[in-house]
Amino acid sequence: MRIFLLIVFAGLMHATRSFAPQAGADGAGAAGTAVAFGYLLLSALFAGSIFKSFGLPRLTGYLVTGILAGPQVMGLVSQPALENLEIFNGMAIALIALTAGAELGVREMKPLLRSIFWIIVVAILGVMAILSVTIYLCRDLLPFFNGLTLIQAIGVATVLGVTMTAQSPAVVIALRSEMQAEGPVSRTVLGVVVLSDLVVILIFAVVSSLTTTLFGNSADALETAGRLAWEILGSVGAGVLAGLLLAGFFKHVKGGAALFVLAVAFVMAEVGQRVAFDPLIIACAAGALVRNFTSYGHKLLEEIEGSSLAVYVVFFAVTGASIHIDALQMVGIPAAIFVLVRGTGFYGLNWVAGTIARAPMSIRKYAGFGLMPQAGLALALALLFSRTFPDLGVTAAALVLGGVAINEMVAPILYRFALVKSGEAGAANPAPAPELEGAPALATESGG
Amino acid sequence: MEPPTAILETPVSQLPPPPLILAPQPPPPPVEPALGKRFWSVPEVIKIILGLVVLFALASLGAHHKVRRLERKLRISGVITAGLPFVILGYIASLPSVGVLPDTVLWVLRPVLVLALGWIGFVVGFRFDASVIESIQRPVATAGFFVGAFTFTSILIFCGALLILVEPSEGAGTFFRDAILIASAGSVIAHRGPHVPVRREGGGRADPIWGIVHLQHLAGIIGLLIVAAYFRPTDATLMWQLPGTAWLFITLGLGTAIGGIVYATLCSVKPGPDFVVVLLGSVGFAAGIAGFLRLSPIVVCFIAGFILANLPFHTRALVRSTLVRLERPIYLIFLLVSGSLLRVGEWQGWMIMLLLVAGTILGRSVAWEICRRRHVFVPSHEQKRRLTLAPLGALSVAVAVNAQLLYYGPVISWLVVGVIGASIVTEILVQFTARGLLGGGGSVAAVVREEANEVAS
Repeated sequence: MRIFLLIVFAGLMHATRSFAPQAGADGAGAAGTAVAFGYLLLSALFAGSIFKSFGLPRLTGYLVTGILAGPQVMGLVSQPALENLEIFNGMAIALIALTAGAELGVREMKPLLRSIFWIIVVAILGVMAILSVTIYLCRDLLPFFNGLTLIQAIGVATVLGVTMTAQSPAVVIALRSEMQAEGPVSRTVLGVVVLSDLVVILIFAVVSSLTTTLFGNSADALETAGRLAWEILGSVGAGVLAGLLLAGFFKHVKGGAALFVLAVAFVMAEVGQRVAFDPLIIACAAGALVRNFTSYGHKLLEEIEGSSLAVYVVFFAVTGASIHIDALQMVGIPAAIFVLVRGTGFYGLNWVAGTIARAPMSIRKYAGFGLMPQAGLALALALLFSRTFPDLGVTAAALVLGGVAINEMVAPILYRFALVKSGEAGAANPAPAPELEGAPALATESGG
Repeated sequence: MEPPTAILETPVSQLPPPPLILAPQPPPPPVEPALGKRFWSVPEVIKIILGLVVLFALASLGAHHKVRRLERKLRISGVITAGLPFVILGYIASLPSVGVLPDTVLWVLRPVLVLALGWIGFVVGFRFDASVIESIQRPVATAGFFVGAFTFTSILIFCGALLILVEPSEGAGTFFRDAILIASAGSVIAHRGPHVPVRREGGGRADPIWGIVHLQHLAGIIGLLIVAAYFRPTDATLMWQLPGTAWLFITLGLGTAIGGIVYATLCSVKPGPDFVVVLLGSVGFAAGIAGFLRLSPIVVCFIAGFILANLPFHTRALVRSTLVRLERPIYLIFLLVSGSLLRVGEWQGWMIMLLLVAGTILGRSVAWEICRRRHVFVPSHEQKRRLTLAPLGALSVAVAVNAQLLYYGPVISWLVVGVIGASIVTEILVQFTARGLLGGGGSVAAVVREEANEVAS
């Protein structure tokens, strides 16, 4: 029945678009966005449940729906509609980061801090180094290295290595929520991906500034440091404010909290990025404050779970639709090599880090899979890369995009496998869940 | 850090110009917007985002059960307590000095409006389940027909006369389209307020007044159906060029098909977190398709809701509660948008308001007189007075917003002033009448007490 419905949705969508082929640009643009929203929501949800019945993550179903419906494959969702739906991206990221922050209870994380520290030092920094070296060694396969001096090539390879190391807190948290996972592996992975996000941003800023000087441009170290300080410290400050606001609301207002959380997430995402703050850091700081300094941590998690499913579904479907399949055609082979090196590096170095930290065997065996998912940060850094190095950025960015495309498809399946094998899947909620339950739902309390 | 969202940074020059209305303009564009600059600055964007969040948060607070309880306690319905402040807020937000809801932001918000119109249509359609239809006895149906027909006709005549005098000459088609739109919006009676009795679940035969209110909703929907089918928008984005009757059948067929699909969709999902998402997606899909074909999302979703309401499935109560929960915030958002579209300096809108009020009162009065003479259903004197002065409903505001999305023209912008103004005036009139009757301790007082008790319980 679900497959039949998916075919019907696709057929209706195709018919509708064929009625008004010029509609994307003007009149029916609003309706085009609404119909794309409805179509992606329904199709992704049903595809997710079909994937789940095959033992795959629902999230992969959302991504596959987006890829198939997107402009690069079937073209059921137009590019303008997709761009309009990107408004969900920031909100989804903020909600995901709020969840991450609210999960980062210092008391619960304390026994895992040693493992987290060593995984970041060994696995994250180690993969950066390995990827940089691999890219440099494979430079003959990459046309944009032609004409670069040795030192320039090393610089570019390093920047790309840092970019490709980026992970995806969004995928990790969404999968953790979907699988109802609880335990040392999921907690360690959560801590690592959130903190390594900051590490990657910092190192990217420093390395790209240094590499810029190799191309004859001047780099103002003070300006770079100031920008980073503003982004990180300012984001933390804004997060503290948002956290206080959330705690105050929970304390004084009964009811309607789900809508308030959504509104705060929207503001954090939209306003944050416009004042050069990082919405991920803001929301994470807010969530951590509510979790560790108030008694409303669980309340916050409940409200997010009760209000975010629609946002998540559309976000991942839009992410899937935005994947540059064409980038794979250009740089498919090198991208596949780098994905393999990255994945192997994360797995092996995580084992090494776990051994150094004397982490439980489950962390050594399975946490490496949680480091593999890749999405938004890598895309953002690729964009930044192409702006910083306009002469070679387009092809180089395509390389990163190709890697992200492969990782988005494969890594969630691997991490799901790891959560199941580690025995943490379902541990957060041992009660058997109905078929289509287990994921957060859309808030409807707003109606009062 | 994820890729930045840039929707609000769309170059304004790339947006089609929407000086007074939300619909795309017919080619060639008659008005070039004087937008002044190509991009919003960062402070402007932040101001708009924060302003929108505050406005939407207020809309949700306006739908809070405490506000509704206060309304019942004060014996006034939505338009004055929650509604009027939102109209004013929308108007203030649209002022250039405030700049939270300028025309360009409204243009960006159109997808939300399409979805919201679909939701309202779905809610109204879902109310027409078999029990409601069966409860409408033939005399009540006849009375409802008379009320609808005479109200529609009197508004058509009054406002038509005004349009002949003031509307720029754009042909008979535009004239009839605008007149029918005004009459459709004016025909709808609010389903809350002192003019309707408290409705009890499973309380036996429904009160006949409810039947009449439902039939007026149906009249408004039919009016919109006819307008959207026979008076097609003039922009050339649609490939199919068909006669009006074909569009009429396409609307009916589309609504029915989507109703069946929504039914199958909801039947494949168990009650739980996914249920609301499926409902939201279904309404978005239906409203989007309707909007894509330049049909009315309200009408298509009304038909889908009607079909769904009359098919057997076990989660009916869940669907109803989910739909109703979001109905009021959506209505308040419509009022915000309507407030921002108000052009208070245009006297024609105020004239339409006066004629709408006069037309509804005259039409309903004539209808009751005909009912009395033909010995069909005649309500009690008090009921008759309350029904004659009954305020326009949320659907009227939705019709006005829908017209803004579909058509271009000066009358469309006057329609907002007319409908909002008439809603407020009729609301005040019916409250005034109810309170006057309260002095005598009539049945209105009993109804009000009953409502208060129901809410308290």
